[in-house]
Amino acid sequence: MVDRSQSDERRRRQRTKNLVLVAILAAFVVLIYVVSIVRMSGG
Amino acid sequence: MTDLSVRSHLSDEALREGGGVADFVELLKPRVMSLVVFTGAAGLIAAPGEIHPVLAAVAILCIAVAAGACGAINMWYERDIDALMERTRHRPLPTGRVEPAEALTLGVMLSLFSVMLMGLALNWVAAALLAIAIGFYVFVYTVWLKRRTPQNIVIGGAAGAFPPMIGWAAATGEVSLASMALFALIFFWTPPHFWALALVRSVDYERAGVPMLPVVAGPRETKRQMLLYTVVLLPAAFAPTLLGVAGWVYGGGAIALGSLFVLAAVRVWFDQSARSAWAMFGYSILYLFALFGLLMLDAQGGA
Repeated sequence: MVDRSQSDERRRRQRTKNLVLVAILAAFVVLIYVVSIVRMSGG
Repeated sequence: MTDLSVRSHLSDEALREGGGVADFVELLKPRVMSLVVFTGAAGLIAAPGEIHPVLAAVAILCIAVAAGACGAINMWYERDIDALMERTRHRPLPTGRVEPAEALTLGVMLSLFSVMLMGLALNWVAAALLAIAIGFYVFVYTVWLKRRTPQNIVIGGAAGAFPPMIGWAAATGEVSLASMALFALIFFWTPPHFWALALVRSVDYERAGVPMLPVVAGPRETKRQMLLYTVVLLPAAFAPTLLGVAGWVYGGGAIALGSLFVLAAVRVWFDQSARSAWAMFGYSILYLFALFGLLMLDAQGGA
């Protein structure tokens, strides 16, 4: 019973980390896009 | 650095569960990052000329990420002594919540990211300064000086003095006398700031074998040098007004805040307890925030 709850907790943590990583990568893509637009418009 | 000795006291639970997002955020030393970001932004705002708001935000992001990267690499390298000190033994690495390799990887990746983005989005002068600041903090301060000499934070403190210079370079693409004055300001501020903390935590540093000035030379010599640096800081903090970077509102503030800093050092000199040193440490943080806040408000766009 204890092992199972620990396993669930570990899985939940890993899932949170993965989601944060995805969000960071998406933000990075958006950032590069915005910077490119600004630079091309002479900013 | 022996992982075995560091990890001997770890709970099995900590090792099994691994680190959460909060632990990785803690690796980036967010409190230190806030001061670095603030001074970097001040350099960027005080610099002459115009910069697109998006690019300004990217420059500040790069400075913040680089500061975080330094924190992660520093925690990776110092995980053995962090485990011995009361102040740091609950950090993610000594407690085993994050693996050393994860911390190092995070630090290196963020360093590369911040320098590359600064170069591509802003300019390569700012990127080079950012790379030098990271290299100085990691190799000169953390690896070379910290465990070898009581002057560790005097020379190593230069790493923390780079952000306003980087912000300035991000806006102008160059290094000027004015940005060097901002560098000098933080450079002279750093020793009394850290030695005030070291006076309070000298037992901790002694246990960890870190040769901080109070451990090596004693509290009397430390207090003497703290007073000396606060006196030198007074004209250094006024220099931006003389160079036309800031006006007299900043100049007046620099004199008032600097005089209080000298008074705090005098109080530490006469006080045998750690209370005044702790108060001075708190004031030193307030001093830098207030000074750079005034710089942003009273920037003249000169020099």
